[in-house]
Amino acid sequence: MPVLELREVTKVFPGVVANDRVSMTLERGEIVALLGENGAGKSTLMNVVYGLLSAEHGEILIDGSTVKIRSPRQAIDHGIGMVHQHFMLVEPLTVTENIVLGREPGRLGVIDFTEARAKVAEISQRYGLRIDPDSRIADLSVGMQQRVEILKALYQGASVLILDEPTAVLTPQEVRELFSVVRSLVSEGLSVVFITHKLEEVMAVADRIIVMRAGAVVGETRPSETDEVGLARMMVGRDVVLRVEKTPARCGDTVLDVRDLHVEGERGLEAVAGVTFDVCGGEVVAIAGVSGNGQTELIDALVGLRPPSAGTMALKGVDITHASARRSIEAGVSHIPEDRHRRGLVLQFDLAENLVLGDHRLAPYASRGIMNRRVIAEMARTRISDYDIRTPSERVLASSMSGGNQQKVVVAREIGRDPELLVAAQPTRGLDVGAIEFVHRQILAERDAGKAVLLISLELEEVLSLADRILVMYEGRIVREFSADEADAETLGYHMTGGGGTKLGDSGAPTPETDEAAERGAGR
Amino acid sequence: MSEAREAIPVQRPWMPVLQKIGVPVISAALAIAIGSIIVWISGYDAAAAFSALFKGAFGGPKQIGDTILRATPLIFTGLAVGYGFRAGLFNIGAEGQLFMGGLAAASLGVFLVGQPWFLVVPVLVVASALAGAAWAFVPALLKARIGAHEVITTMMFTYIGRYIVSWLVVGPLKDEGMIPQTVALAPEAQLPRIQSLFSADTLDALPFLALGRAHMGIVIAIVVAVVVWLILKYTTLGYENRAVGFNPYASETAGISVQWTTVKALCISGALAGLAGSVEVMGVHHRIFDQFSSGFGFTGIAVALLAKNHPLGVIPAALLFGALSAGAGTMQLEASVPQKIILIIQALVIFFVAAEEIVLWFVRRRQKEAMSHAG
Amino acid sequence: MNSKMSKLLAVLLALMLVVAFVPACGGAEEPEEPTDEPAVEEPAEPVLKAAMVTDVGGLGDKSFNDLAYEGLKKAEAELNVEIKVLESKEITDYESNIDQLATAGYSPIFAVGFLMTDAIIKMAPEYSDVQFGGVDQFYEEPPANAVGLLFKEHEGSYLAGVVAGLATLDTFDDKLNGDNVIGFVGGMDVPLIKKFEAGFIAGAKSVNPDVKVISLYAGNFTDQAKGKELGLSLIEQKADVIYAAAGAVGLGTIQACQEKGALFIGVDADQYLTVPGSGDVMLTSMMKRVDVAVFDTIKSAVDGTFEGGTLKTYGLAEGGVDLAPFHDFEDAVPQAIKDAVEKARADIIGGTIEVPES
Repeated sequence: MPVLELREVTKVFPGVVANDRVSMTLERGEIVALLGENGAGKSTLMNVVYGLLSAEHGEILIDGSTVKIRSPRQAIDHGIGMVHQHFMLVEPLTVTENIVLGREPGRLGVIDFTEARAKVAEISQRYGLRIDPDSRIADLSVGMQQRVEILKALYQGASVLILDEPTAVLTPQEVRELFSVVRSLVSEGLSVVFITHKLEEVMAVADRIIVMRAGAVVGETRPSETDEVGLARMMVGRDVVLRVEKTPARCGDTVLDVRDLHVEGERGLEAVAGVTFDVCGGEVVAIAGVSGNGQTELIDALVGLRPPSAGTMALKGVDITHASARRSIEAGVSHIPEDRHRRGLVLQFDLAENLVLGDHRLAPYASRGIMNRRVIAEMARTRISDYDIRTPSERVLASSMSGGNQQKVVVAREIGRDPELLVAAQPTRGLDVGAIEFVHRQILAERDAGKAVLLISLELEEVLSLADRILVMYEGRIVREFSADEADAETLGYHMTGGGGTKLGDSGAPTPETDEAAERGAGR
Repeated sequence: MSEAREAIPVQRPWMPVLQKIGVPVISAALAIAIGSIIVWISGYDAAAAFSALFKGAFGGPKQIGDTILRATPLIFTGLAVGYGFRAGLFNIGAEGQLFMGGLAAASLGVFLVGQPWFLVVPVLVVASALAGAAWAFVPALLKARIGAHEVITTMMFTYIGRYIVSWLVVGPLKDEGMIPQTVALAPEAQLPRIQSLFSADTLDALPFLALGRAHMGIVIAIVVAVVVWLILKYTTLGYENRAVGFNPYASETAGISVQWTTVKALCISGALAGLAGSVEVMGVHHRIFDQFSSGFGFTGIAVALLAKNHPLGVIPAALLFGALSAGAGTMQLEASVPQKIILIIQALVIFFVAAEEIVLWFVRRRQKEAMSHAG
Repeated sequence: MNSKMSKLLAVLLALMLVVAFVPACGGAEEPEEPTDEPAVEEPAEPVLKAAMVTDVGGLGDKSFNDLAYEGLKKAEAELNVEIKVLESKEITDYESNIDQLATAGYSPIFAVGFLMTDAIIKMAPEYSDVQFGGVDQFYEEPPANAVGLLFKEHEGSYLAGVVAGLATLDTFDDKLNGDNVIGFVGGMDVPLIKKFEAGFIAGAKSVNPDVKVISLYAGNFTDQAKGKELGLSLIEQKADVIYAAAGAVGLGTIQACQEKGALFIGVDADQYLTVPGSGDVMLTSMMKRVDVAVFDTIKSAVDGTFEGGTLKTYGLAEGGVDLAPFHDFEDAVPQAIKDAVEKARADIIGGTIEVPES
């Protein structure tokens, strides 16, 4: 008997059928991956199960009997736990406090913290989820915070665990750890629903795969019966090119010229410690590196958000070292920011307003401080059709669009501006395969139009697929440069994690290879 | 490229508009409903009370004029607070800027005696806007440069402004006589009452023009509200203001100076609050004294909330508060309900507007029901 | 604006309203509700309908508004008049409240407080058949149908000064120290309050020429915390009798006296009666008999002797200002002080003493 079964669940939002008669089962000790593009209805379905939404039709059965779940509280009582993409933790509180929150042991309103700590320790022991119960949430990494969320669900007695896009925020290392945690959970008899749109994750972790498209289940399979291409076809409904074809780069004039750039990070520490490189028109240069090695600060400096402490930057021979973000845009630098919700979009603005952001002072969109809404709307409609943004009109708010469409808006704006240099940071983070393919094609089209592209990505696959040249960044320096054909994932990964180089502050003598890297990378 | 995969929401452009207007209306209605229960529990005749309230606010042209009179400063302070909110700033100190605006009009007006009204009135109005803006400038600068929170600084400046006025009206600017107040403005520096613009014959023929104490400040208020709306909607200034209010990080990335936008927004907010001071001085009291504002700057916060920071929405929101205030006297007179009940109703309106989620919950539940019947 | 901010705002606004309410309620029991319901078995039609408009302090201020209402109630009981009170919430209410009462046929209508001076000057000509009384209102040219009711606060304050000047030399209570210092707390530095101060100082010096009088001003009439601060400061400077002419500010000063040990002289009403629990420091009060003025004016209207277009000044002679009983200190206060007060009173009424106004 399945621990969880859904029968003909239908959920309607005003004007949209989010789930159309969806049925599925989950067996004890099983990992089911719910695979689908952004907006396919995966999260909606699981929010129905978790009591956050109520379905118009259909039944939910737990251990064979029909239940009504009207709130997360009831879901928890039925043994269903859910870890959301955005964590719901209280940052100033400790791990233990967060885990027991809402179900504190003790009596008469006095929390028995000794008991709480013991219980948390016991659960973390049993499932191999190591964590310091006294750390404050704010001090934990994202991966650890996720672990707290899982522990919280387990503490509340979950036997079915729903993970909503759990890997979206994790580093590759953290993803591997999560997978091993998930495996140990099912070996203890739990069942897991794993929501994702990433094909390789599905292949790696799932026992069974349920594919959703446009609110309906379109197929069910097992990793042993299919491959990534097959899954992509099921998910998107057509053949998808997972790695876009590209012609060799035809390098033109130097567009971006960075010399010995030093940038300070948040706490006044030097995050970029003297990098020198150039990007010419018609090539994609990728900066590969593990998150936190100075890439963010480098991008900020390039686009005028953070003044460099030393060194120079020039765009087509014009010095932009101390340019503000506004001057940088006007000089021809476009920027697809790493975090589109925070830096890329104004979610409460409609599409047209978002598409003009950054160009809003310039003709023909504005003259003498008055904005020309007609011209802006026309531009927006052109971009919407050119960049295949799925929306009924340019008046729709950005917040009501799916993640993939939001990213398309940013791409459309930044590339549509026709810049000299495109700085693309994590341009496909969180996107599904169809959208990734689209963004990749746009970036290459920009390259082929003779523009310079600087790609910053944590995804090696993406770096290898797009770049003509690859710079490996480690602890604020460029430690190695590869041309597209001499790089592979393993070599890159080796250099990204500090292999082949000394750590900054290491007392050991530099190896010959480091010297060579320093020469080639820093180019002094 | 491919078939449409994503479910596209059906466009119903009137839906959000309806919801925008609906929530404040329901909030106000709920407040009045609960207010009447309180009136009833307190042992008064709720029906008589509210019919007296309505009569006092809208019973005739004179009463409507009284409502307009009271709404006029609230439109400006509502606009001031709302404009700040649109930039993510909480200008809690509109009261202080209002005082400085009033001070500018009252003091400068005395110097301009003998000039024609078409010179004096615009000069005083502009001067009070500048005074309000100046009073917001230091908090704005502190916010932009060192991040000092505007709630603290504008509030502090409210105290400073009020005490400056207190001191001036007992000291250097005091009129002769026992009362601490400035010299009255000359007629050419006053905003005339609307009914004074028409001849007795016209007023006889068109009695609805006999709007009692309502003065031309309401016309300025409506024009300014429309201008603010146009600025927000059609200018880069307003666009950047909204962008920074919604998302300063994305604005910064797009080359908008968050600091400069903050300074501009708070100064414009201060200018609007300053105008509230000028209409009170030029249209009602014709001078300034210690208590010339009855907390209009603070009521403006409630007006902005009720209007959801929309410059045009501020007009009906201010009229509602004006009506509650104008009707309070009649409610006391005819139903013997103490005016503190009116304060309770105002508080309830604010509560329900602020607690919008509660109202939205009712709305959503209705929608849900409607949908399940339809489905 | 996000929902977090809305919630923050809700809390802030709720707090602001509470803050706005507390001084309005005076922090004590609810004021008596105005009732216009005629007594159950009214023997005859009321002879006239008298009304008053409060200033923004409203009823429950334990001061002019309440006192004027006392006068109104006395007239209701003794003169068979119907009465009505309209409370003002903001300055804008003054004119409209007067307007409504006049339209509804009330006369005389009393406007309490000098802030309504302009309102009376504007409204009186519009309703020429209505009689108006302006408490604390001085008119350069009084409207023909209005009378300004003024008080010789300096005369009453002179008596308070006599009491304070002699008490600080005495030791009838252990709160009195050996230093020859007394204190004055003023609301705002305006001519009206200066009259209190001048009379107080003159009275004190008349019986104790060497006395040091320290005057401090709060800058408003509402800030009780400020009143307490000023009181503590005066006591720190060795003052042992403090006279406050500062509205609600004085309530804070009373607290200071209770905490640090000093005697207090109240103002406007007999504050022994209106401020519960103040008996241990309340030596006496300088009463401004607004109730007397209001009652007299209603009586003149009933009798048909109402004199519009005049200013009526109520001093000691007219019973318009006076010193309240000593209450708990009645037995302690030496007869010499009581005699001195009576002598000063007689001299003022007799014209032997001219009390300075500033």
